[in-house]
Parts: sequence; structure tokens; C-alpha cells
Amino acid sequence: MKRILAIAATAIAAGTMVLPASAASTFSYGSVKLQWNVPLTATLNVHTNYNAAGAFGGAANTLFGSAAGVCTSQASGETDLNMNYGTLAVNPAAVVSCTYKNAVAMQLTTNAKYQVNEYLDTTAEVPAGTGFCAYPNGLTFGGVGTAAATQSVRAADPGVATFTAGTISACAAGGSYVPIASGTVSNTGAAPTQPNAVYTGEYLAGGTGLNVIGSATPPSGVVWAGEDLQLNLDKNAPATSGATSAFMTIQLVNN
Amino acid sequence: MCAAVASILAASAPAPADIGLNVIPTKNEIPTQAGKTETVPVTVRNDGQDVVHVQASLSDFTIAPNGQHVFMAPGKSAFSLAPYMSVNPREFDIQPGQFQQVRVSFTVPEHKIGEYATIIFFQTRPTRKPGSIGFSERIASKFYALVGDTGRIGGEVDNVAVQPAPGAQKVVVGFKNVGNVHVYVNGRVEIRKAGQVVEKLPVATQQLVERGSRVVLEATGKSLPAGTYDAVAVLDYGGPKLTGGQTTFTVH
Repeated sequence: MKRILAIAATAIAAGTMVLPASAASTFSYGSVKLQWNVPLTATLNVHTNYNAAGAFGGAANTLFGSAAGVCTSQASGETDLNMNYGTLAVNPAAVVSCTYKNAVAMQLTTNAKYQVNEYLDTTAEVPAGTGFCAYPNGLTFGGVGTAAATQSVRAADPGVATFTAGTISACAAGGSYVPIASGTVSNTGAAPTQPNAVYTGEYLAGGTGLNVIGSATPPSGVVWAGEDLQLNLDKNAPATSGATSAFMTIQLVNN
Repeated sequence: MCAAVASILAASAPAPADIGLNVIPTKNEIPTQAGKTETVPVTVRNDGQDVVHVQASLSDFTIAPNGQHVFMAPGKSAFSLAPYMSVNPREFDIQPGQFQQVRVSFTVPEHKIGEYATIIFFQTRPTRKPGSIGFSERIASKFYALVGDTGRIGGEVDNVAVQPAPGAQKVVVGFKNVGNVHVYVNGRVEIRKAGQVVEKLPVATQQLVERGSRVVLEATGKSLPAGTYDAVAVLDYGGPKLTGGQTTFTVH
């Protein structure tokens, strides 16, 4: 060790000695290349029946029917991520609707261009004569979202949708149709399974669904999107066997 | 007795059951060589308050003319990476505040050139309750694999048109990706009269255009006085030169 230090000291001394006088005030600059990579990342939180903070609002919900008796708010029984419209009174001669106030809140954090969409999974879950319209709360669908959770100011059902051949062709003013995925469900197992196939296509959406929020630039902070969700039944919609359930997927894709 | 009652109450209390996923990275651009196996980690974190079950599935995608993503079954795209890819594990549970690292491996076969892409969606499994709408979320992690130095950036404007709109002019610009990698397009349209610029309209900001796809960009300008004008589109797609096109139109 001493030998190494001695050699190093000699080298430094020699280096100093061989410097020409004219170079004494000349500095030699080196550069260090600083390189890093920041990956794209995204976090998405979802709550239903949301409160002012954007969190789950509790066991009771608020429903507005298109007419008296179409639907009745649930005094209890709601859980986060499961929205219950209860029993709807279908009308043989007219479309009816039931609007769930403060239905869904989405909270997004990302460092890249983003797009959030929603769609219902498979036609099997949503039979003909049944359809959903979404109504934004404090934002414009397709826009950048809001800086904080925004609750609905709605006090009544916005009006029924228009059906054409069993499918919604138009929502009431301010509403947007929530499409049904046209893909397939390849893994419906009730229990977790490990697919043997090379790949699966669970809940594959043919399109992107309803564009809820999106931007070509990353948000400066947390981005929120809230909506009311309206269930529409075509005139004389077919009865369902027992209670019907459906799945809605909130999808996030970065650029 | 008190303990037993407390236990029952705790057990019957509704679970938080919220969902909150974090995925990193949500885009992967990986240089590779044909025949070489690459393995890349993706981290999926549970930011919710309840345990969540996640399934990973592959999906091909492209960009539709309207600029929106279109998803396809894996392997359907001519430039799909899915057939050469494996994901492990495919399903897993994540405790609140915890994460799962997923290993993604792929081998682009020999004789392939350019870029191949697919998406891995990490999707939560919704809880099914009779008579209710259940929710799940899915977050995409895009994978692009570029083979050696075979990538070629290419783009061209194949159409510029002006369509009358109520009280305005709508300019439509067609852009086609003629290279073999994805590009991001930024650009503008200049409305000129006798060589003088009378209006500048942004038509694209970081618009993704996948390999082999074409988008139609639109911009709506102000109402113009009667006269003859030129609409000149200038687009930057990351290539060595800008691309553009123009058309002449008359306002009556």
C-alpha cells in the first residue's frame, strides 16, 4: 500500500514538474455526461357513490327516476364499486330512466399524455333494450378533467334516452352513451386461474369506449373526473331473470 | 361476550373495496435484435385500501383516423409483438400498499425488421354482486420492440382540404406513417392570403401515429372575408425534414 502511495505521489510530482511555465494558468476542462431516464407511470383510483372528497359516499344512494315510481333511492346496502339501481318499473309504452347521482369518481395521476375511457363489458351483461348514458360533473367529456372532485348539482333525471332497435341512439342533453365492448371474454373463471394460452383477451374492447378525459400534455397534478350514470330501459324492455348485473371498465392508456 | 360481538360486527362491516392501481412503466421502448430474448420488469402497485386481484392480458392496437386507440385481439396486427411475448405471472393478488413485479419476455424472430408493438393491460377483477354494476379498471403498459438499426421514420401529408363550417373554415389534414416505427406528430396550418399569413391553427400536439396507420387531423379557424386563400399544413413527425401540403380555397 505504501508503495502504491509512493508511486502516486511521484507521478503527481512529476506531472507538476513537467508542466511548462506557459501552461501554469491554463486549465484543462473535462465533462461528465449525465444521463437518466424517467419512465411513464400512471395511477388510477375509482370510487362509486362518491362524496365531496371523491371517496365512497356511504350506504345510501340518490336516484332520480324519469317518472314517479320508476326507481327509488336505496337507504342502505351500497358498497364501493357496486352501484345498485334497485328494481325499475318498466313502461310498456315509453322509455324510462333512472339516474344515479354522483355515480363514479376517477382520480388520475400520471406524468404523460393520457386518455381515460369507460365501457361496459360484453353484450351478455347488458341485454337489448337496456343502455347507459353518462353525464359529466364539472367537466367536459374528452377534456382534461378537474383539479378536484366535483359533485353533481343535478336535482332530477335529465330525461330519457332514445332507443333504435334496442340500442341507445341518443342520450338526453349533456349525456354521452356508454358503449358496450364488442370483444370477447376468454377467462370468466370464478376463481383465479393461470391461463395456459400464450395470451388471453379478457374483456377486449373493440373500440375505446366513451372518452372521459384526456390530454396531449401531462397534468400538473391530480386529475379528477366525476359523472352521473343513467340507466335507460326501452319501452317494454324484457324482464330479467333475477337481479341483473353488469361490469363497467375504466381504462387508462398513456401516449 | 363483548369480544365476540365486536368480532361479528367487524366481520360484517363492508370492506373498503376500492380500486387503485399504479403501473410503471406504462410505455416501454426496447431496442433488440432478431432472435434475442429480452426480459423487462413491469411493476404493478396496489394504491387502494383493499386486496386486489389483477389479470394481465395482451391486446394489439393501432390508431384510428380520428386519432383514437383501437384495440384488437393479440396477434391481429400485422406488426404485433404479442405472438412473441410471454408474461409471468398472468394473475396475482396484491395486498394494499404492496406491489407485484411482472416479468415480460419476448423474442422477435429472425428476418423481422422495424418495430413491433403490443399492450399489456393490467386489469382488476370486479366483484360481482346481484343487481348491481360492478367496476374494474385496467391500465395499459405499451411495449415497442425495435429490431437492430432497421427502424425508419417516415411520414407524409397525403391530403389537405378545407371544408365550410358554420361561420368558420374547417381544415382537414391527412397524415400517413410510411415508416416502420411509431411517430408523434406536432403541427399547424397557416391560412395565407396573397402570401401573408392571416391565421395559424394548431392541428396536432403529440398525436401518436402507429406504424402503418393514418390519421386525419382537423382544425377550425375563424370566419374569413370573401377571397381566395391558401391553407398550408406543416407537420413535424420527428423525421429529418418537416412534411407538409397545401390547398387553395375560396370564401364566397
